[in-house]
Amino acid sequence: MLGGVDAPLPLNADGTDMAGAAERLAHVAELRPEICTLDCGSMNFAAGGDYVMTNTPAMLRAMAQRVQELGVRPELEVFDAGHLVMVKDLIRDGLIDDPPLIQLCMGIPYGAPADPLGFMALVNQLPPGAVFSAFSIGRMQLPYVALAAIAGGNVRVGLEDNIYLSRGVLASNAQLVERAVTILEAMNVRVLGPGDVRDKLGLVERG
Amino acid sequence: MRGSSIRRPPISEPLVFIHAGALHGEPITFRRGLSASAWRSSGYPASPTLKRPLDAADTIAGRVNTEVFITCAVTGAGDTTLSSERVPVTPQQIAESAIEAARAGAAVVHIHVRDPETGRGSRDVALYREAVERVRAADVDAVVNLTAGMGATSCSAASTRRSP
Repeated sequence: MLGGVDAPLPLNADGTDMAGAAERLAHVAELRPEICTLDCGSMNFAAGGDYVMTNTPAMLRAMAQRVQELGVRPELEVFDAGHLVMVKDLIRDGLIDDPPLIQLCMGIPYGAPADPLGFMALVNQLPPGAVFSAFSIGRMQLPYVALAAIAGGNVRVGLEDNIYLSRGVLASNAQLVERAVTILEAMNVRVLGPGDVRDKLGLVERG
Repeated sequence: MRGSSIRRPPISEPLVFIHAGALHGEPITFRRGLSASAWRSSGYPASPTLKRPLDAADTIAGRVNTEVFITCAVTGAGDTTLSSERVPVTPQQIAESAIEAARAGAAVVHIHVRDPETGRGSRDVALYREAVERVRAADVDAVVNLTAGMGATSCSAASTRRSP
């Protein structure tokens, strides 16, 4: 934990879950999912408190290398424009297998806001050949289903990012997915299954 | 519209050319005075170092994705469990919710686990193991995507909520 605003030091272990690269990937090493996420930078968080997420460049390189050795595809989480610079450095350093999979995480204070022009600015800076997905938290989650597809991407919904189906109506995960399917199919967009995703991303099926 | 009060944007190159430069790691180049369609039909290269006309394959943006996969992020690690009882907490609840999401059309399920007692985010491998084994044993297929984002947060003394 950091101290208060007048005395941030000394740090103490209470109020932090910070751990080393190997420990953070222990479950990935054992369970070998087809994909694991890698948050490509540091960021302030406000929701529920006064937080900082700390991922130094060296930590990210170490984690990316370990994930690559495990044969797991990292989903590179981008919360703001600078994180995309980190993504490109990881790719340049040979730490990310093709095609890079990038998730644009929008509208999370204090990362990139969810406005469409800001979103497109990130889309426009994606590395060549990347497959991307995008979402916004809160009430912009469902509009982002359409927006992400229109921008050339894939979509993410679910209770991690939004708990409502409509104003005041709590959602289940299945209901949010059903709504996403409805939005996409209404635009004559084909919804891909897991086999299609493995083909598209060159994933190693497990389990 | 001459004389109209509508203010026209200045002529500048459309976003599509910015994409092309960005995708090829090249400096952004602008050529004033050409509309997007005029540029496209002119056969000019997209930038001085891209030695051919731009085509749609050079861009990610600018093309609608007509074959989309859905990821369902089933629970996360936030304090949403305080606001909705539908946010799954135990590994069994998380797996069941992921399986229902896959049945509804999610190709990928993104999974965090939570301490079943407190509902807070956890890195306990045993909790991940139970959730993943249940998803893999289900009669519906899904690509498993596990978070590796835990283990990076610190709160300050000003925080009303502690890190896990």
